[in-house]
Amino acid sequence: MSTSKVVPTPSTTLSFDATSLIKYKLSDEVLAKVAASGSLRSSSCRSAVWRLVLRCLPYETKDWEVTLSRSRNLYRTLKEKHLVDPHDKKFSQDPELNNPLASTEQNPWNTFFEDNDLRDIIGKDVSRTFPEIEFFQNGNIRQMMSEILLIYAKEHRYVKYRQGMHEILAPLIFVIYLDNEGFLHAKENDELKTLTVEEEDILNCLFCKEYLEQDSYTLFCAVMLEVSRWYEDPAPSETSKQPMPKEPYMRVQDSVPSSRLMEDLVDIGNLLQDIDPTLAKHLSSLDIPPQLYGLRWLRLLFGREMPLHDLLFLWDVLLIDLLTSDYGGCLQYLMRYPPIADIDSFVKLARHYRNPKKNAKPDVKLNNFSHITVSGSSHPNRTQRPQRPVAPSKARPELESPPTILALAPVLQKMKNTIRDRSNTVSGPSSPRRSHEPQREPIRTPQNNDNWTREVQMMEEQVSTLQTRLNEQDMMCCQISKALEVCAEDVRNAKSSEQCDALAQTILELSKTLLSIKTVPVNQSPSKNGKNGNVDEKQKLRDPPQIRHINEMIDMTSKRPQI
Amino acid sequence: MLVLLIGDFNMPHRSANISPKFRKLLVPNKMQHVLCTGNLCSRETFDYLRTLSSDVHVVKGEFDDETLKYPDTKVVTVGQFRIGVCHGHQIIPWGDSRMLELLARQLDVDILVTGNSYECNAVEKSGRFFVDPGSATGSFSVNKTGPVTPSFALLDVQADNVVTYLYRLIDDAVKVDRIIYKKSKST
Repeated sequence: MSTSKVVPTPSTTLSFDATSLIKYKLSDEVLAKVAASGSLRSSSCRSAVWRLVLRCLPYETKDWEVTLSRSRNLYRTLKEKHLVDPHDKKFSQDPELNNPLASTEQNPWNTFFEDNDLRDIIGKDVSRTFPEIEFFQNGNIRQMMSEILLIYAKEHRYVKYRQGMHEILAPLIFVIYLDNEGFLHAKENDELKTLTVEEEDILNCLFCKEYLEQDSYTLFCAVMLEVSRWYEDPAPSETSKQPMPKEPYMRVQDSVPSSRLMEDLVDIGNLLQDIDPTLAKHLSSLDIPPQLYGLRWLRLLFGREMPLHDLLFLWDVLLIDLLTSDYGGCLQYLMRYPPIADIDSFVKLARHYRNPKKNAKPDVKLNNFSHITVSGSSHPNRTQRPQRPVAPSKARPELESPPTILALAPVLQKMKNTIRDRSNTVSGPSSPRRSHEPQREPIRTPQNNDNWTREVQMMEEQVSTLQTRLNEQDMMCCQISKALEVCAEDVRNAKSSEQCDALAQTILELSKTLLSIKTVPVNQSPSKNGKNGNVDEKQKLRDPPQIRHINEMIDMTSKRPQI
Repeated sequence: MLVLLIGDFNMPHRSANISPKFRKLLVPNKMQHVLCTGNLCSRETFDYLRTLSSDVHVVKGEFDDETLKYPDTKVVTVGQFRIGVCHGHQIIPWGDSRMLELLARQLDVDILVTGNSYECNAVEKSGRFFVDPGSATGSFSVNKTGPVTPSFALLDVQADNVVTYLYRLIDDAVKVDRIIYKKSKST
């Protein structure tokens, strides 16, 4: 995995681990490439990369220890300054002055009571952070988060604490924690043999478990430097003046933008108009301004829109873009695709919009399935869409009567296209069929055709949903098999008796079976195989479940209420 | 965690009001609990306590309305401490330390709060802590000659110790005393 020889830049295909942090000469460009390639997904130094690109750490590895100790000490002094404990010995012990009810100025209890309200609000929010992840149920972690947020709020009085900040902090703590654990694990497994003692010391200092809180605060501050502008209140001078008398029943989108946040949201609306006029028109006809849906995208950096592992990948790219100017612009492009099936192509497309010259437009066409959530469950807003007529019997395989097959053809074709490369790889016997459809179908049964397009839409959605789940499964499988292999190795090392070997064998087999979930070859038709030649590796991995999709989809269809 | 101990108001029978000096100290959103040793004697006094904290516990004093059905004793757990409250007129002889210890054992509490003596004090005896917040209004007492000092007490309950602040109004100025009680391992 890690390279023992020193090469100028890391290959983006290799996994990027702690060793590469030291060995390679890193720069913004290199890290941007690494992040965009997605190789940070399985890396155990994502937090370090984030800290590098956010300038919490210098690129010169020799300076790391100094920088780290400085920022850690800073946090300690801030903590002493802001987290006042009235029982502390440093305060006057005279009960006349230091008692909970005294109103004298130097009474430490005054600040304590002032913070209490804030503490309550933060505590409530923190206890609701990522309730599905066990890590955040831990009392110590919650305490840590509360303290970081409290100190941030007191240190940055112009921002204060606003709901949503805890959602920014949570992934940061999570990533730093995981990396610290990952580093310890790597150390135990002797994966750092290639490093000199000094280099290992630097890494030891970087991934130090004791400083989780301090490091999280530093990273959080760096992120908030960019994000805080969306949390700020409208300038007080404006609110006191009340420049625009509010008209009764005025809609939120009609008011004059009063803060940076509102300006950005209006920009999102304008961009949407340029990029996807149809959607923009639809939204405006339903009276849904960007203020409604864009607020949490900006404030939470999409924290609520994605499952955590996809979110982390998105942040890899986002945080690097924080550096460059026009971050808001990039983000607004990203805005366009709320629940998205494939995070990888999503990021690619966003990067393309951001800078069309530098980043080629990704081949995979994206679909905007606005009425389903990323996790695949139906979106609460789904009822806004017209109910799809369902024809479950017709969606069944090709053994039906000829008209059904004809009608089915676009469905299958479209479905394949969603999964695969759509722009130029479509070839083989199915493509001529598709070219006929547009002319034939509307003439024959316009009503039916309409139904079918809806059917197709629905299928696309389901495919994308399943894809997301499969992505997750793939990842899990990889993790499990890795763990199992490690396990097997351990057993083998322990005793060389036959029993142990047998045990190791079974574990390895187990890992193979787990892996096979991902790589079971599918008996594909020749035309499909022909297409596979052009499809990149990732898509190949996703191919197998395709067959399964159709069956599952039919099940789903039959469950849908008929009109 | 702050717990206010207060009682023996006897309002309006023996005193018209709590001293404004005390009212200035007693403000909402500071105390989490209020434990009252009884003798409120009016609905208004109870309402006043409710403004200080949403969690108010009252036991019956000898002059409280029978129909209000306040309990004779009450046990409240705050942090790791069990706090028992009793007015004290039921304990005969009044203010007898051994009888108070007996009650504390019966209730199995770490801290026993009693009133009825009209004198503010806090002592630790055989591993338990006994607090008397005195009379909040300084109303006269039948078993006490001379003027009564208005007083109340505040417990600051922490992980393993309780800091008790005793507030007394002497010569129209608030005097504060502090007594620290540490929970011994055995209890």
